[in-house]
Amino acid sequence: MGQLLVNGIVAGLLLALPALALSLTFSVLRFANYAIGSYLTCGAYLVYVGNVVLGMPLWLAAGAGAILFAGIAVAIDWLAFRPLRDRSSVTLLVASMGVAIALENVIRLFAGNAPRAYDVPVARPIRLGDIRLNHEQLTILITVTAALAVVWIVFRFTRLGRMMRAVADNPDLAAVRGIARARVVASVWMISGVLVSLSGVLIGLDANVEPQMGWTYLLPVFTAAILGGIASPMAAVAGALTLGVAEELATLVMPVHYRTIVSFLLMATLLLLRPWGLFGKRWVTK
Amino acid sequence: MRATGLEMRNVVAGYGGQPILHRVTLSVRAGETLVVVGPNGSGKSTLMKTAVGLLRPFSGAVQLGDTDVTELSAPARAARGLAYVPQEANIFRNMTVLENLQVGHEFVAPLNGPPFAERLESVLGLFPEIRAKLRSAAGHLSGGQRQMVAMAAALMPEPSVLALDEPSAGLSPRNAELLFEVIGRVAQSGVTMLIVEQNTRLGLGAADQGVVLVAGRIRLAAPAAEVLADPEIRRLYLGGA
Repeated sequence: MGQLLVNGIVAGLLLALPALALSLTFSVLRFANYAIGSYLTCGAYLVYVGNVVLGMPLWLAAGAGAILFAGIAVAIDWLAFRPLRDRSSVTLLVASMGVAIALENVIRLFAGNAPRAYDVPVARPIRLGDIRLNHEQLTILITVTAALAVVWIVFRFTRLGRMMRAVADNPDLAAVRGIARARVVASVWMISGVLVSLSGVLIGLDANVEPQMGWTYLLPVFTAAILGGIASPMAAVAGALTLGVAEELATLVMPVHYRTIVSFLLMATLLLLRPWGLFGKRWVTK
Repeated sequence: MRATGLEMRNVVAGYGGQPILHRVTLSVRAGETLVVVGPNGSGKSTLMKTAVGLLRPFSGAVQLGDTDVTELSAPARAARGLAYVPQEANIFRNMTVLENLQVGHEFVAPLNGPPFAERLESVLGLFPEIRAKLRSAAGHLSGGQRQMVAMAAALMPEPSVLALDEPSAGLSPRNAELLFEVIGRVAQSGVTMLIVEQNTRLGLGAADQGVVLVAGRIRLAAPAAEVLADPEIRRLYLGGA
């Protein structure tokens, strides 16, 4: 049971960064970025190039990859989403599907379909009583917690954080208080680019780097974000942890390979009964 | 602070290609208060949004002081000293009162202007009731308190022009009177004011100039006392001659 809980928390933390990124872009731009899975894959491959092809240590490759992908996320916004900014959220959702397909195929074109692994030493798991924690899990725990702490501090205590929260809360009022939306949008894409890229590395570390990895995580990431409250970024983190633990505990009563059904059931139930999420605030689409 | 006027010339504006305002011209002289009254649906809020830059007019011009701001965005107009309090959704509900005031100040106030702490004290002097609520979530305040926070946030950067959309909406008669007392004090300090108001008597009572807007057209523009004394206005909006 303790082991399942630990595994669940780590699985939840893996979902936390992309769920946070998804709900951050949703809260400011009011559309669900379906390309988030491909962003994650793209980030993971960029870091693979740094780590394996260029021989950088993984931490350095992850940092460089995250910064590079933040720029790519802003560029994608300029090319694909910015021209559609005044259209409905459905139009933007469809555009993001197009971006997802394009990105994934660019990756396949250059990297092929074979799964790849980062160049990291194999190490024995750490034992704490009855609980086993392998090094990848420890890396996930530390990296995600640190990233979440940084995001929380930025949200709460910085000028940039207040800008983002103001635009998410009330875009018209933010405009008349002197906040230029374009700057906030660029910052939001950069932050979500960094978060998604980092999560791509962690998922690649936990399993493999392969072109499908983003798709595998798309459903749980959306579920986690909706579970928390898609318009409330920090609540998405709570949603991710809840989903991670729920999926892991579900293996007590059902075969392991069926656990994805937990995501489906949770998402369907929430969308019917509580579309603003378990921890989020009610929001209204215009 | 140098007083600045606000002018709209032949403004045609609306939504989705449909005009709501038809060649509206009005001018608020520097340091004066102009109140726009009119029935529901007459285009008062459209006029306000066009003035502050949330809505681009189809044609016509908006001028702030000596500058034509027609093509400027709302943040750019705010940076030139135009502050706005919308009728609804006029606070950041998920932020504390203090954060609302901070956001009111930090993106607009001139770099060489008075620091935040100084402005905060000055604004809290106008609205002493909100001092005890600075750490509260703004979304949990009562309607009257919310209106005060919204006004206070707009006044934080020492604007030269203040635009208020229906400030008394949703307030009790007592709170509306209190709010207009503060509006009077702000006006006396030299801030130019453009106010859209449903409470004709209260609004025009606080104004230098009055404008009656009906179906997107200006029906009457005159000194506020004259508008208030106009028999037709009295009959239509004040319940009797």
